[in-house]
Amino acid sequence: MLESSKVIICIGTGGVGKTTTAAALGYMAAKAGRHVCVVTIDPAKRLADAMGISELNNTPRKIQTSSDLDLWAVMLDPNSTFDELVQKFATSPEQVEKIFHNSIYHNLTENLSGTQEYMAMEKLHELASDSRFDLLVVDTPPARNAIEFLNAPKRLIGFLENRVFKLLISPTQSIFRPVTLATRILLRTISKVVGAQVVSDAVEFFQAFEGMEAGFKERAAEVQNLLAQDTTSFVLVTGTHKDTIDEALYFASRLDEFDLAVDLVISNRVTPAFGEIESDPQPETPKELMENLDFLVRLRSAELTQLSRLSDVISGDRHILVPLLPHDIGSLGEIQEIGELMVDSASTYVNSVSP
Amino acid sequence: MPRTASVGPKVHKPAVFDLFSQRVLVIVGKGGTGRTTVARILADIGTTAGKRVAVIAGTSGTYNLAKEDPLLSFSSLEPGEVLISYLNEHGLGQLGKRLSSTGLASIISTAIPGIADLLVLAKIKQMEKSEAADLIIFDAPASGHFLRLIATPKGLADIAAAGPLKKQSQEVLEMLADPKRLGVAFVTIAEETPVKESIETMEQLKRTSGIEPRVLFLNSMLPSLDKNGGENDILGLDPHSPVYRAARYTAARAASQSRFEELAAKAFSLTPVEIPLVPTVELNEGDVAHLADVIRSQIKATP
Repeated sequence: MLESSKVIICIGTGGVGKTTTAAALGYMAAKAGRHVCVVTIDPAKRLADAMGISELNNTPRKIQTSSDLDLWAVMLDPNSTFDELVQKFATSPEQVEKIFHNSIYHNLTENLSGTQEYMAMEKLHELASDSRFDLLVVDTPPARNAIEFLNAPKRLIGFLENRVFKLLISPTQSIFRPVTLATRILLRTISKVVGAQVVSDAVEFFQAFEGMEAGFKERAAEVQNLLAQDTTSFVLVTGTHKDTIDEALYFASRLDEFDLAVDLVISNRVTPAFGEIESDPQPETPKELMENLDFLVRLRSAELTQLSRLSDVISGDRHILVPLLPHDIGSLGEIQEIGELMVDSASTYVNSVSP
Repeated sequence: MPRTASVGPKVHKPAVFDLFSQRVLVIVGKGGTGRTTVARILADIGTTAGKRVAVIAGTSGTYNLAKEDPLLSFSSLEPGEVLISYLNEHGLGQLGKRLSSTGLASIISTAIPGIADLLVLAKIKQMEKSEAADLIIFDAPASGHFLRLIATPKGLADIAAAGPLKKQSQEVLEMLADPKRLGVAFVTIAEETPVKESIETMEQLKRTSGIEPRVLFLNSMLPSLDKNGGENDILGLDPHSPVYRAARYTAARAASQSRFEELAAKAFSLTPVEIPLVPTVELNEGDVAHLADVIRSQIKATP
């Protein structure tokens, strides 16, 4: 996968080490000679510092590595990405101005779920045609449900195509008098419940966006197309807890709807294997240390039982277990360590998935 | 008693957390740190003390409570769903049955950021006022979202000039400002990123809402080895043996754990309540009862 993919998309719920995984995959690919850009969103501070992208910046920066790898990183700024899109699809500078001044537009990226995901895809689309890179590793935004990433274009376009407001601003509205009447009552009620400002902001918003839906739609189709390519790989990232496995299974089951499949599962923070207690030949070992080993063996066994549920969606040789390290991951050296463990574990750990 | 880490945190404010000193306890923490687990255990402690406990999940979805109990109730308040039902109750129901499908709800929540969150807090306030339970445990959304949620009523009190929203905002603000009515509990694990994020959230919460953290739970604490001087114990063992490697692993993790426990304790000015790691990935009733005992010994939960 690291040799032939053009796009690798890391998917998973928050807190499972998605950003670290994306960075580590990027690192290993660059080490194998690829020209890599890691696209990330809101990484933990130390990790961002390690990659040299501590500020929001839509421009990829080269990561300073000791062996001078062709490894770049970009931290996505969803707001300015959206601004760029508006500028691209708007028919006039006046339209751009009107949109930029609308309060609903201002709130969109932060408050409409799916917008950040959409912007991540947009950036992906843009970087895919950047000749400096032959592999993009994408760290998707932290969502409650990983599937949000794939639903994002549909959601935003659905929002822009709101029927009620489309009718309201339509020049032919007089023909649809009855509809308009009902709509007007609806709007009056909205004004009463949540304030008149909301209605006027919304009308202004949809007027300003008039005619741009087509551009967004076309773009979404192109992204969809990019995701469906054979050279695009999906990596599911999980932890060992039940809820992260549940989410991964749910995501995998929904991928079908989009004609996509999981190419690799990476499970982070697995308690390492130390070997069985029986194999320990020293009789005078302190009881406390025996209990410690016993505890870790039981913990690992519980984790493996949980992880084996993933065998329905991925074959064992495509399920990588990354052991939990005794320290946090936050430096380039540690990212490299994780990357090497991933590649190693393809042989060392995989066989032990089924308990 | 839970095993404590090698270097115990310095006690800055020896106040013991009293589970029943507030009617609403909001559980805050980064995703994956075990907010739901803590909510479950505290609910168990509450009902064991004979109190009526209501657990509210900030997201929809499944929620495994420890056991069936007449003293225990559960509901979920997903902001989007709460907004839709609010709009329905206020006269939009008859006009547009398909509020969510027409996208009106999402337009409104984008036009007034936080409206849905405010309505969630308003529902909790309603339960609190009507004394629907002795203790309401709110399993809040992940920390980033939570900060926005808690800042919402303040922002909205100004925006919504009049009408039902303004009243709701003011009443929620009153509840947030009263430590007898509402307290915030933090949950984290003793690792660098989660601890640092918790500290950031806690400081921001103080700054924006004046709310002081009531208690800090440290989840998944690894048992430490060094009560008898673990380092000496492993001398003389075969460095390749499983028992030796396991001991080294635990010692290294415990050292890192106590470093971040200390950092958290200092920043929060609280003695953390430690929840030991259980060698399982899904807690059963017995595990919950065990952890409830462990937590009970570190807090005050007398009827």
